[in-house]
Amino acid sequence: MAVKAKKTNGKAQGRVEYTVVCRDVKKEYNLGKVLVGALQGVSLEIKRGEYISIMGPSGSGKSTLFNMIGGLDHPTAGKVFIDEVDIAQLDPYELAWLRCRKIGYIFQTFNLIPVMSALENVTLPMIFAGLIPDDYLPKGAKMLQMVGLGDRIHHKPTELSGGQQQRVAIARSLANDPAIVLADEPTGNLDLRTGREIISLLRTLNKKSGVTVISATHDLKMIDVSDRIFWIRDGKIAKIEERGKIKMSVGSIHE
Amino acid sequence: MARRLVSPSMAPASREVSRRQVNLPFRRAVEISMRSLVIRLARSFVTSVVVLLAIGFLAYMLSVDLVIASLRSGELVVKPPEAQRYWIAAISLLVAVVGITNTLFMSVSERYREIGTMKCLGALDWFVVELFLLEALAMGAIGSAAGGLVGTLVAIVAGMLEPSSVGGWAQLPWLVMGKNILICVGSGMGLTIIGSLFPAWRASRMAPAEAMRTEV
Repeated sequence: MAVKAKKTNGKAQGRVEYTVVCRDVKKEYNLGKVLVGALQGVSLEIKRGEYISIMGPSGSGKSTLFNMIGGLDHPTAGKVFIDEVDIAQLDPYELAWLRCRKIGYIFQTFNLIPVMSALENVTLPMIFAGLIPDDYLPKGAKMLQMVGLGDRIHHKPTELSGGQQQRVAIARSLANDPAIVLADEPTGNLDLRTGREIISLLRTLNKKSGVTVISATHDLKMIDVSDRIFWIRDGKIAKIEERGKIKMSVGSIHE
Repeated sequence: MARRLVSPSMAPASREVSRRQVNLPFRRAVEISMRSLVIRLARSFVTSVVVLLAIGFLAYMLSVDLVIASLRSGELVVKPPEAQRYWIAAISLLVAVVGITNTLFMSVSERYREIGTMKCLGALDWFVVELFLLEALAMGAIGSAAGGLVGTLVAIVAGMLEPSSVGGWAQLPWLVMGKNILICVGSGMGLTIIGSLFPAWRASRMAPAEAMRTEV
């Protein structure tokens, strides 16, 4: 059943507004003779403005769940609701609108378009959204400045380091002021220090603009900045933890 | 119950509203395609050469008989080429289409991740088709224009070198040759569109997750 938020005068009254809802989502991959069950009935609710980490070991179904939530692939069974709209019911135009305006994506492999400069990469979704050059060029430059790349806007991805490319990807994901940012292993290809910078950048953006951040990761550094953590294992949600309830102690090695 | 993104009171107009909200202006599409073409210059060049050769052959076939006949008799003679010529030209065009399709298939498969990414940014299927078609069209236009000119030139030279030719530049059937060149350019561009449709269409249909997962 869809979770409905009663809206009166544009404000939710009494009920909680869930921006992402999954109801018993299943995904199976058909590999000829073998049926691989990547997701085996995942149900979750994510509130607006939360910073969520979906954590689990390799092969647990994090990326598959990421694809389901982001509308990048279709579940075999179950439903995904984004702002109470069942995304399986959307036609290609509405789905494209969703991906352009409502959701921003960040990938482990950055996925920048190699033939375009940083500015052009960031402004591409703005072009799809219908902005004209007079509007999108300054906006793109401003976004790149916000992530700390104001002086490299005309560099191509090959001329940028991994951390810088991921920053461009983050700027691109925020290009059309989306409500949700989905990140699939954002720190997977980055070293420790750069990873920390990226994580803190995401947290700052989450706090400042109230965008919901959903990150599928196995990087434990994410735990500290998340509001809630969904532990996933073998295609099912094993545990949901709130940050406040986690005890973390950091040790050090003395030689 | 599922609710559409746009409220029901706007239902009749909602399709139009949705359509208008994700768009790729033609100018931007041209910019992006030309950029991709120039970056992959070597591959684009080879594809254009394939078109150049096939269209050049067609141009030669169309014009050579006319040129030789005109120069021999010293006056403008308009005689259509024999059927056999058409067959030979048709085969060479077929080979060119196959070549173009092959090159474009390769080009498209190398860029699956790029296509998947664009779809994540909100690109509709037809944006992807449009971008690939524009690239193919540009390569085709350049190749066939060059091919038309080169083929006609070779026909002229062949005519001039004929021992029995008496006429000079003035006797050449310029109008017909000009028309033939236009036919060639049109066929060349048509060829590249045909050759690129299937690869581009297939590329556009992949779901983004699948497209980005593909390792070629």
